[in-house]
Amino acid sequence: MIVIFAIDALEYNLVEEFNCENLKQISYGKTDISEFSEPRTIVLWSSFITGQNKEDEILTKGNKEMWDTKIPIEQTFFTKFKNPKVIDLPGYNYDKNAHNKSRILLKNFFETDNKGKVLEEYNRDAFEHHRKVRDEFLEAINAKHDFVLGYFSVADVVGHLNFGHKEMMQSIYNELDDIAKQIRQKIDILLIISDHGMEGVGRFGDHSNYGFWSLNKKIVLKNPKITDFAKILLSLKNG
Amino acid sequence: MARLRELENKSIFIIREALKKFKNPAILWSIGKDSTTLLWLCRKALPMGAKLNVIHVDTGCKFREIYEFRSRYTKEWNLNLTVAKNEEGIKNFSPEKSHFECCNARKTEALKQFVKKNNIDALLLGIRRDEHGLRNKERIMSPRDKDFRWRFAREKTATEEGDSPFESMQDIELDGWNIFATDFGAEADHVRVHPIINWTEQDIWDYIQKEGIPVVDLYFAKNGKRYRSIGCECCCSPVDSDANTVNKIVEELRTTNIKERSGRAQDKEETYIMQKLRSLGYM
Repeated sequence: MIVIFAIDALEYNLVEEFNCENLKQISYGKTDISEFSEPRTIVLWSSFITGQNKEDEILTKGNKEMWDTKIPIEQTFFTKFKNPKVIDLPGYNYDKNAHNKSRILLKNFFETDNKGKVLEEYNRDAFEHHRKVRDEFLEAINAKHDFVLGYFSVADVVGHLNFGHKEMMQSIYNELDDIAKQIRQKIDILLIISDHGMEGVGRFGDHSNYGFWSLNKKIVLKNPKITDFAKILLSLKNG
Repeated sequence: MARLRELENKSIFIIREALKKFKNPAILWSIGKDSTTLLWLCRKALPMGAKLNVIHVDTGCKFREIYEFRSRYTKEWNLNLTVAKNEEGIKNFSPEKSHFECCNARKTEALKQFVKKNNIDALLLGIRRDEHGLRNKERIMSPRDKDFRWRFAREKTATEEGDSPFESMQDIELDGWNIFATDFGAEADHVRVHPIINWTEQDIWDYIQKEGIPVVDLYFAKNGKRYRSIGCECCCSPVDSDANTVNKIVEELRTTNIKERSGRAQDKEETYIMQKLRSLGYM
């Protein structure tokens, strides 16, 4: 079984700082996303699953419309598996409506004077969604799939408004590290990958210009591109 | 006081370096304490009788006290002052709708127009690192393109090492040796010069106290409140304070925990993130 633990905005420097051993696995490093003009979530995940730079194609849709992107399975490396399960992945089967509340709260945060209250609700909503995805992910790993990809947005969503809040970020990283710990023993190949990382802007967080990758195999990759992993995974699958 | 002397010497060196290297420099005077201190330093740095272009960007909603101060000291200091104003922006944008858009239209756009029209090749600004995170990253000489963006990095070649995929095209500033790059090629529309970037808020007030530099009355407490940072009237609010003289402000700063820009509605970090999230389609 091959599992991808896809974590939005997992920041290399924080994985190091909080020493998340399970996220680091055996081999890990930064990904090179410098071929993209901006670290955009939809563009990066779409490029990841197709092994091709999808930036031009996706940007023509528009900033808001791009979130509706659903790349057909035939264009992805998921076709190489018999019974793949993909959970909530932007660019593939991400349900924009399921994330609507978070968008509304985000907008409210910048418009309200009562920021504390909105922020609390925003964070609570992100954690609630996270728990739902986590349960579905762990359940899928225990079911009979030959491939599972779980997409986790909590580090990105919470990070944008709280990156300067170290304790909160540490609790998120500990939680993600704990999920990695739970699954890493059960599967043959585990790729943990982010689209981009995050850097602090005061109390807020902005996307950084590199991502994170790790594998439970000994492998040497020097600044791999996010589009390289489709091939890397398939070559590992085929031994 | 040795620290102030050192800071003053350094700033004067930077100002003179800028005056020597650039053909058409100008100083941006917002009339707050920092830019007034910078103007004071510029007047010390200039050769006798020489004049520097001074720009004040008028957003149309500055405090009355700021306009009064501007009139008085333009005359008293015999300044070569130009007031830059974007009338179109003032007509169409207001802070009630969006602080960021208002600031952009009334302030940034007005400055852009001025720089372009007058072929300004260097702008001297009174920003300081300790004001907020974004200014922390600034250099003393900071090139900008025509859209006011810092775009002086290139992708690394295959043989260049290091984690970042980019390499800065800006030469290293050897601050300790007073060596600053000032030539950034044709891509640089103009260069931002930051002579007081390493000063703190405390340094500024210590220096105002030592030199007797006049500042706008809004900084001094009235009825238990004073402004720590001033700009547009609609976007600034005073903080609790009883410091009604320079001496008392100097003392107050040694003990306060309140952030300098806490009274500024137009919080740059928040605006930056809001704009970024919007451009990424989050909102």
